[in-house]
Amino acid sequence: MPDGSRAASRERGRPLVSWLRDRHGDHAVSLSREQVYRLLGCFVISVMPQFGNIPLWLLLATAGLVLWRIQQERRESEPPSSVVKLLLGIGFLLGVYVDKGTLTGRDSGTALMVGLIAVKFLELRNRRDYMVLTFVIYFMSVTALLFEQSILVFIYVVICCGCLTVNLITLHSPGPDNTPARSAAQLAFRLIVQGLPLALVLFLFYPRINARYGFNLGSSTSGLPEKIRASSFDSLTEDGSMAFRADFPGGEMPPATSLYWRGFVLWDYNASTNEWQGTSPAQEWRDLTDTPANLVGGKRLLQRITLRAHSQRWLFALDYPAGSAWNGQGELGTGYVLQINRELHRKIQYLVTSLVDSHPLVQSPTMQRASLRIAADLIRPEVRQLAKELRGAGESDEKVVANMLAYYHKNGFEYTTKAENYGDDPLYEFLFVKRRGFCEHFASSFTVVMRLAGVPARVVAGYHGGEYNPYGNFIIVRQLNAHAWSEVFLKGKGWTRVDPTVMATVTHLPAPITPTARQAEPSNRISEALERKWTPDWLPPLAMEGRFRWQLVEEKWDQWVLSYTPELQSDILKDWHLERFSWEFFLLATIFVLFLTIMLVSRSFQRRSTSEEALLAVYADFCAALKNSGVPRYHWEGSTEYSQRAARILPAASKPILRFAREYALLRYGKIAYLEPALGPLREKVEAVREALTQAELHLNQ
Amino acid sequence: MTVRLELSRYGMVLIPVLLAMLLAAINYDNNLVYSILFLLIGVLVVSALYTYRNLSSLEVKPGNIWPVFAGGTLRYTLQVVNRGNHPVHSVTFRRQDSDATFRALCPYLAPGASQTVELIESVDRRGRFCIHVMEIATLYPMGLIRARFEVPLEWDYVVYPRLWGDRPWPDIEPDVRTQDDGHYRGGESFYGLRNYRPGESQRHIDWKAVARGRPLMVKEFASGGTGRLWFDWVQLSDLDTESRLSQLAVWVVQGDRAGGPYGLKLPTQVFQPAIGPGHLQQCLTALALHHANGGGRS
Amino acid sequence: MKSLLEQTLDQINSVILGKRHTVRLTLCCLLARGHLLIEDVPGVGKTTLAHALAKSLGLSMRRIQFTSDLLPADIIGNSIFDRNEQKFVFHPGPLFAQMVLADEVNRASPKAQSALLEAMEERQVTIDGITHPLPQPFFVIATQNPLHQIGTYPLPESQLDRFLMRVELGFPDREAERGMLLGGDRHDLVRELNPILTMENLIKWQEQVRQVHVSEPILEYVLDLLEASRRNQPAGGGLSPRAGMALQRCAQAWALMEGRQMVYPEDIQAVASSVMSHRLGRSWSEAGEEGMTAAERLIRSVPVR
Repeated sequence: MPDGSRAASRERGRPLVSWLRDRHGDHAVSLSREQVYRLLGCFVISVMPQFGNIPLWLLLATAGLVLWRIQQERRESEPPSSVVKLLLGIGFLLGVYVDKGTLTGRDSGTALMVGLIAVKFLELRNRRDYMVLTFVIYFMSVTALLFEQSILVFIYVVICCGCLTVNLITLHSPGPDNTPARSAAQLAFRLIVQGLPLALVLFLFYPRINARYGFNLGSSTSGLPEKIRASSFDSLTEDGSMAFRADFPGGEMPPATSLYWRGFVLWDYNASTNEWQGTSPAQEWRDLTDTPANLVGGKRLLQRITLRAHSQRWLFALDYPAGSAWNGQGELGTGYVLQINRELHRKIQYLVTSLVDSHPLVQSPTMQRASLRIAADLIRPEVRQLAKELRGAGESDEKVVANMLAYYHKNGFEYTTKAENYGDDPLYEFLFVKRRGFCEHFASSFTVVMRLAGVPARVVAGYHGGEYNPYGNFIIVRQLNAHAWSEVFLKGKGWTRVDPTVMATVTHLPAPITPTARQAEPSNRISEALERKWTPDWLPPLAMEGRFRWQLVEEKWDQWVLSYTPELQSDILKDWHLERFSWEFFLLATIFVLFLTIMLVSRSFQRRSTSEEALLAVYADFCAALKNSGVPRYHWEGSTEYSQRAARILPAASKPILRFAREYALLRYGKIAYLEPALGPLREKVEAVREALTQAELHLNQ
Repeated sequence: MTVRLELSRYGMVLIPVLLAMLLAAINYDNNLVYSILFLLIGVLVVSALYTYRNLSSLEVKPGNIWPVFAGGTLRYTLQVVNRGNHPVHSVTFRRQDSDATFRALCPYLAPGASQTVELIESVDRRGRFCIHVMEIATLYPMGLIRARFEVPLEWDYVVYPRLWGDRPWPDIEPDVRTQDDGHYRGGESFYGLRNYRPGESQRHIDWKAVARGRPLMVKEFASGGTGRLWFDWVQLSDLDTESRLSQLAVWVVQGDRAGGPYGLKLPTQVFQPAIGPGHLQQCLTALALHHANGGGRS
Repeated sequence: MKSLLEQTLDQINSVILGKRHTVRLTLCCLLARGHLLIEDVPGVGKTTLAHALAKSLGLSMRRIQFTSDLLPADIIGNSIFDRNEQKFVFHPGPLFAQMVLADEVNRASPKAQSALLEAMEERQVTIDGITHPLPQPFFVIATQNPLHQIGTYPLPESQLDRFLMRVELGFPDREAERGMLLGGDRHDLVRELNPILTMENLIKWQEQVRQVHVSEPILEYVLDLLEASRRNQPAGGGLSPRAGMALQRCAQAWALMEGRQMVYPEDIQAVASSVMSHRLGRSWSEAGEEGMTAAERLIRSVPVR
């Protein structure tokens, strides 16, 4: 007896399975403790990547509620009254509002969702609540991707969704034993793998809308500060996270000394707060002189930059960007600044061309005024005196710049990465007392003195240097590469970059882009110092290499997944000679994908023993032939009896009929291990029967 | 057999969540949110196929149905066979009725296995009824898609009258054919004593016990050797129809328990005295169908 | 081998005229190691059939005439104190034979009936705590008068289940009856019969019956029949699991007699009527229509797949 039938006979006659009677359906079924725990577990792991994005008090409150729910389950106590839940909900609402100042947007929304899910857990009692909660947690785990788009977070979110799916499966398919979790996990894995092709095609073809209407969002992502004062880069010097990555599709790398990534320009100096502000003049006037045509010299270089969300409106490019970026969304503004019309809240990738080592030749009178504006009477007389001394007896602007740099040199100014304690007037203190500081001390003091001396000057904020990845041929720029430098306008030469941090300090250390052998050029020591911090000496070369490889993976990820834009989508479609995205096409694609999926899945649905069915099909064929000749089979008739009856009624075909019946009965009821080889001859016998019947009919007609 | 697929109530809840995800993906122009969304859609579509497969290999045959008296619980079984090569999970059986839904659950069925599923219903009216169709549904694997099909059963069953009434048995008619009716008489075997009820025949009163000062008791005999027991519609002329039927049903059941032959006279039918389960069934069926209004609940 | 079987059948058929199918069923029952109940009016040749069978198969045969005063000890034997040996000595009754003809079994009291039936079932007899095995092969042919005859104790349904088959001989047709009138005395004919089979042959074949292949579809068919018999039945109605086993075993024996090593649905159907008719509950037999027996109706309600 085959195993199946043995199992069948064992199962047969087992007493009643289980029954339940209710008028509301199965959603009223109560949940087991394990199910509640599992969902709580899913919730907790889904919240984990959000730790940095949610206020601490809310996290603690959520943890408290989760513990409360566990306690409830253990003591089997009643859920709290609806008043308590309502109060908790209102409490979260108010708390988030006070904390974030709004209830909409990504940050508040996520925080609120986490809190409300925790409250909902308190009243989780039946299956319907369970399902709804599961769906909401799906959504919540996905919101992690709104904050961070790295490959790791993505994988984590997929795992979260997988866990939730396993949970749903265990809820709806209790297995044969009491430990269905493993088989449920296998099933969930199969579902996800088999759902992949459909997901992929949807990803490729689902029409993207070029979203130019983002809601305003709060954000906590770090980036360059909008205002620069003495210690504004303080927090960045320790921050090893990536700001952006740049690779060079043209294949040509920029020289190491030219790695100045231009961010934005700071025009206004507020002497009372010692702050530089950038945006206001850029918004007030639009200088038509700042066009690519105004740039002289330099080398054209194409860069592809993958920029992480920084919640600001700047795009970065090497000095000086010569044209818009990101398909025109990043416009080239006053001061050769790439500006976008909304804050950036996701990782993007854009192409931009720069003229490296060029400089703008002319400037407008408005810009001239802006670059000389300074409230001199608010500045200490010592500083003004210094400016007067630099100018001396009507020295040229070039000379003034050189004198200032010489001043730094002469007085032993030092660059430091350690925060210094400055008092009320950091400008004075830096120039005359401490003489140690960050790049912004240098840039700020230099620019102020230049303006006091009558040289048009401005502060530029951006990044300097970067880490070169030899495998991917790209440069990773981190937050700790944040830098500020100065530009002065020299008659005849135009705007010229002066980096007092580098040019004025005592020692010149090499290697802005470590650790490769490709540069022997002198450069500043900042990057080197910072790089050393970021890559400790004890890090073995192997780990170093691993890091580079991983960066490469991330680069590919960004290139293929993140930067799949509507433009690229339509490019692909154009390649396939589909000029326009029509609904008909989308419909066709969907049908195709569905068909593909069904084909793929049905592979696992195929029955193993098709031979038996094939045999029955042949028999059905035989019966159909006889039925056509007026001898239908009674359903209780066996094949032998039927064929004998048919042979009596149809004597002309009796021989093939009986021959078939003998063979069929042997195959059907005998001990046959492999049916397949016998099926072909059997089919031929049916054909013989058919033929004999047709012959007989022909005779009859004649 | 056509298996129909539809979005379950839970699936309906998922749709707004997916829409919200789509909105988030569009608003933040976030390809990763798109991918998760599409992955979930893919899983949803594939799970629909699994749901379909879960039912497609199922064969449902009617099993047993047990006799039931009105006011009791109807029990019947279905034989479920898994003809496929994959296990079947979480199948619910539902009979949609005019007033209530009755369900049973078969949590697991191995490939090739068969299982008996028992359903129970409460019934309150006598008569002949029919289980027309049984709905078989499943939410496997994720509860998002519901597959169902209907098995036409056209399965008749009879609900006997409510067992209600405490009238004493009617007198046993003296039977003149006792000695020569071909049935072997092994003598009267004494069965037991019970309290005398006014109006009963006085022939079986245990007079010896009365003489000893006991209350009036009646001797009962296991096989009626002295006469024939007739339960007659006419004997209960003071009751309404339903009460009469109920009382007759009580008598018939008692008669069967006592083991002796008994007969039943209805205005339309007469059942000669006999014994055995077949006789009992015939009598009760006749009572159940007596002027019953046809299909009743259907 | 087939020829031997056919020879046996031919020989019996020369005595019992016009009952080829019944004779075949009888032999089938014997090969399936079951006991046979023949039910019919007196005088149609029940006893002759048993005699002819025993003679042709070369089995020792004892006949027990059941009467209302028959005691169990008259069937199975009893222990008698032997003065010489100073102990009880068991004197086996007529049951200790390879073939036992229990004539008119429904005339005896239930006590005597159950003594026979228990021995049939267990193939052994226990007296005074000592178990005596019955000979091999052991085959009981019980004859029974129809129930409506006067002075009978009908066998209870539960006891009927112990007979593998019940057959009815029925009146022979005109041609067969003419042959009987022309031929000599039946008893003389039986006496003249020669054994064709040996006991070893018989036992060997009984073993072979178990080897006959029962394929999955046949198994399903039997299960379907059992289920169908239980459908719409009051509790306990329908065929018992034992009936299912009986059906399978008889079909195997039938297939072997047809010279096959596997069971066809037709084999099931051929034996179904004899195997099931006495086992189907009253509600099956009572609701007859269209002139079909209960077994036939059951078979027609179940499709062969």
